[in-house]
Amino acid sequence: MNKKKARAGFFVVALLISIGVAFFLSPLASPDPDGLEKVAETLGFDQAQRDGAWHFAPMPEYSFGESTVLSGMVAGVVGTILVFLFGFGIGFLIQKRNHRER
Amino acid sequence: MHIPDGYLSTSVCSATYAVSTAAAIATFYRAKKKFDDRFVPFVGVSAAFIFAAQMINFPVAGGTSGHFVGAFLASALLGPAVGFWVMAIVLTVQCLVFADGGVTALGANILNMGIVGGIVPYFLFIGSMKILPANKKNHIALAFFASWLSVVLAAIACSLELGMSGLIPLKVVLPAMTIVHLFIGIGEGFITSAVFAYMLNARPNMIYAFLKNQPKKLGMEAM
Repeated sequence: MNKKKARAGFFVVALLISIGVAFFLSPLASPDPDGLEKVAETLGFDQAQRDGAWHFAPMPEYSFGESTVLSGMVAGVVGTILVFLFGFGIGFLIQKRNHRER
Repeated sequence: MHIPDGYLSTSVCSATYAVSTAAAIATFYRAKKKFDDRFVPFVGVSAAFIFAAQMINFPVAGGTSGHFVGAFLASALLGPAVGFWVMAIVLTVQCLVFADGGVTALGANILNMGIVGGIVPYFLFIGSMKILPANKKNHIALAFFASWLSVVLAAIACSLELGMSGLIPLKVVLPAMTIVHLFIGIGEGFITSAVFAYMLNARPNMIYAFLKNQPKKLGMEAM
């Protein structure tokens, strides 16, 4: 039982660290273009970028509506929890499939 | 290095979608549950950590930033099949919810950062681990190198797709992309080896790469 508790504790702490990173560190992220964006600018093919193939992203550019620091922090937390849930879901499906095969 | 919409030709988009879809199906059916009851939360937490860490762009030289990818880390901890799924989830959510990476380029982004950046370095890591003497220092150094390589390989794959799309000649984009990611990869190496070192010390039996390949030596290391 203690072992189980210790395991659960590890996951809770790891999830809280991830949420903390998304919330507290995202405002500190460098605003500079990343490797591909920089290469695209330098070589001049960034103009080829087309937006509009997908209009339904609720938090484009990691923010709600207005791009404030707080909205970026909250968007990061929402995304972190969302991928946690999807990851949990796919893990569950794989586990279920594994059990069925045995 | 999330490719936006508009960069890739229709044929490159379709081909990369086909490869990534095939990989998603194959890895789902090959994925083996490890770590008993810890497996399901571990997949979720890994995805959460990788998503959060990817948000934190760190400055590299010359007004350029880089960010963590995490593909090798996911493969090392969860195995290449589940690691691929973690990357696919992160990239799909980034694309559909945050408009980070194009919808038409999602297949290519999953191919670059899930397959090329995750599955390929995983097997290089496993192969090298068997050659080098088994000790923590070597394993951490190997994790650094494999994750650095993961970013460089993903950048090369990205260049090939841009070149094949006729957007820019390959001989122009390949060196530019490779050189900048040689530096960005160092950041990847530091983050990955730090997490890896922690797991090696605190939770060695939660590293798939060891469970799968060195069960006896793992017992020694756990002490």
